[in-house]
Amino acid sequence: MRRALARWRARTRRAGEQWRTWRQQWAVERDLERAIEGTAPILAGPWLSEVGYEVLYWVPFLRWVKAAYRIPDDRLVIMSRGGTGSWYRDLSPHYVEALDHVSPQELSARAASGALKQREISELDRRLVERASAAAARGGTMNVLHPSLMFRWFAPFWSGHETLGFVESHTRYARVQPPDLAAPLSLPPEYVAVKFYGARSLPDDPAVRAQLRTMVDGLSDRFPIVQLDTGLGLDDHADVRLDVRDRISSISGRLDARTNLAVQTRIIAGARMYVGTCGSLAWLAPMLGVPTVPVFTDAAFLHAHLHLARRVYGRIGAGAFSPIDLAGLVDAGLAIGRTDRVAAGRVP
Amino acid sequence: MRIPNIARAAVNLAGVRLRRAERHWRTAARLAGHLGRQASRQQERLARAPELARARVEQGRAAIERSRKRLVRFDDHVFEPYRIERQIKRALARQAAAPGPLIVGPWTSEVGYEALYWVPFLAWAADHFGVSRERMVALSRGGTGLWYNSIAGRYVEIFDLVEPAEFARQAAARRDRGDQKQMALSDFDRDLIRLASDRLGVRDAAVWHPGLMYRLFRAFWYGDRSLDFLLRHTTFGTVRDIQPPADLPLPAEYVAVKFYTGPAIPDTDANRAALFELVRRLAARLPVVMLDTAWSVDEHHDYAFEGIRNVTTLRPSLDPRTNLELQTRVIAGARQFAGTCGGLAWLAPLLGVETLAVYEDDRYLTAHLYAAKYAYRRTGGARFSTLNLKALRAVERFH
Repeated sequence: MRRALARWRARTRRAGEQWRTWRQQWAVERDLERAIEGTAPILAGPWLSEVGYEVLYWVPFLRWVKAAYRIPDDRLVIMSRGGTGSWYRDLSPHYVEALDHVSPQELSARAASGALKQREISELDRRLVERASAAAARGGTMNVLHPSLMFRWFAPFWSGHETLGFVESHTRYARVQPPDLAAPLSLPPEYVAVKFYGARSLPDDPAVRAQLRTMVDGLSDRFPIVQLDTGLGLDDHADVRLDVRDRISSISGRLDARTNLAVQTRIIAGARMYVGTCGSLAWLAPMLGVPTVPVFTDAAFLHAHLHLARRVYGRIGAGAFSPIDLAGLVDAGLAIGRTDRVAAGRVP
Repeated sequence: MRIPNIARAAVNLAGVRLRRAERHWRTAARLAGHLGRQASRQQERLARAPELARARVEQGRAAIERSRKRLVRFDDHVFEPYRIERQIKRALARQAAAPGPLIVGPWTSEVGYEALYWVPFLAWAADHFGVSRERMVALSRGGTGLWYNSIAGRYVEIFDLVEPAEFARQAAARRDRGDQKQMALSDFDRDLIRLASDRLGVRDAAVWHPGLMYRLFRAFWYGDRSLDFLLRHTTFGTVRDIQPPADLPLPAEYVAVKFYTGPAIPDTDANRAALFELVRRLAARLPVVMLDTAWSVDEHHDYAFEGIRNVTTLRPSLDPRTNLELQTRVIAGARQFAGTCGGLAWLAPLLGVETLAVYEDDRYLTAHLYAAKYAYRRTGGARFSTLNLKALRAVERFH
């Protein structure tokens, strides 16, 4: 009897949880319908959060919204930062650069305050929406499709309470075309693009740094390396700068914040391979058709993203996505690259 | 008496009239402007009417399409899995309520699914349906009784009931029928249950067949059930009290290694070369004990590496009846386990042994990697790391 009662209680609790989840989803859906109703232009953004969430969730989510609600191209106005217009090229020809209306310092300060994910509409977002409405110069008002809708919609998946099928049925994945612009340095005909930054998945500590240096050194014996360290500090991830040798060139100091992501996209698209911290542009590179080796030591916050990425990249004919778990390699004494340069010590 | 200034009065009066007229004029002008604006808005609305109507129709169609898809999705992804879940739980409850021993098995499919899903599923089901350890009889092969120690009081070895060659033949026949995963109770399964019942001296024993687990979790593997669902229907636990085999001359410290062919590491020259190099590098640090067998009862075959210094093999010590038990004990005593991502690699972290799971193709591994990494972290299992051969080849000349 006690067990039956416990089972009944658990079932009731689960039914309650399920009901709450559905209600939240319906609420998001209602907000979404409100955001796109009528014929006024729709501002999708402003996107100021991490690059990874933008390419892996936000852009595919917008593709789904556009297809499911049959929104014409010219109704959508995209607002993002860093010149990411090419990521949205199949969605809309209208792109507003957020950094035309807010200073890079303000974005850095926002990131430093820990408010990176746009789970709600902030004062800064409101200000940018006003400016975007004016910049779009269409007169009248604009509807706003804010990133918080996407964050609310997919949050249960990231916590393991919603299915992969749910995300797949509310996104549309596609290959991304690089922007048509010149790189700020002369690129070799064949090169490997490398971008490492400190993150929870790859902490910037001496042991990890030594491993990465060894790996990049080893790679540089085979191909010239273009290191995508921006030196701009626009988010909470600091670049891991590796020693610059003859065959390693860097774009640091040559970038304008307004176009930094466009330039990096262009460089990655032309690379033979992309190697970098598992996150951010590592989610984009396969969509550009570039074989990608994302590196991590702790996948605790990556499980859901890796699960999704492994599923969808194969479907869209993306570049090979082959993650490296650095911690396991080091534990097995299998340092990559020039083993003579690996510092002693255990990767956390 | 003052004489009124008629002229001034007339001027005042005219002024009042003028101001009134001006007021009336302004009101009229405002009204005319308002009417004009209203008319122009109306005109604009009329001009845009077809466009608006088209947009409304389009939005209406899209809404109908979305609703239709939502219904289909609800049926496929919510209602159907829920219906299957109810069916399975009823079947589990019915068998749990029957008197006498409860046979769990026979397990005749892959080692990986047994370690990663079947045993944790049984641990959950036993607790959920109140089945005591004494009632439960595990029916499996290769001496895996120690995997079931905490949930089943008895273990029946399948290779005591049938010959390994017959087992391999039946497993191949099942795969040929398209039932790779023991979804349904086969004639061979029935025979095994009957033979096990005879051995136990019971008639009409209750059975929890692996098909129940396969059908329940299939929705998770296909992405129609959440990770939370899987974790709610499994109880992962570490197994720390397994002793290494005393009768084998094992090194004091060693790495246990088992690589076998399959979709995760197809048998190609490049993979053979990469694995050879991997084992060579492992052996340069610590002695390596290979867990390869000289036979196979499923579609996987072990990679064997000859001529590497510091590498020994368990091959001569293994026989089908006890091979998994012996391999489990050897892994339990190892400092690290390295092997194909699958099979015993899912078990090793639960034995408290750091594991390096190697693959070249993760197409069929995504759901398992997702579940395993989460479960080990929650359970306090040892570190489970993956090594992608493609990535390794990409960043260095690894062969």
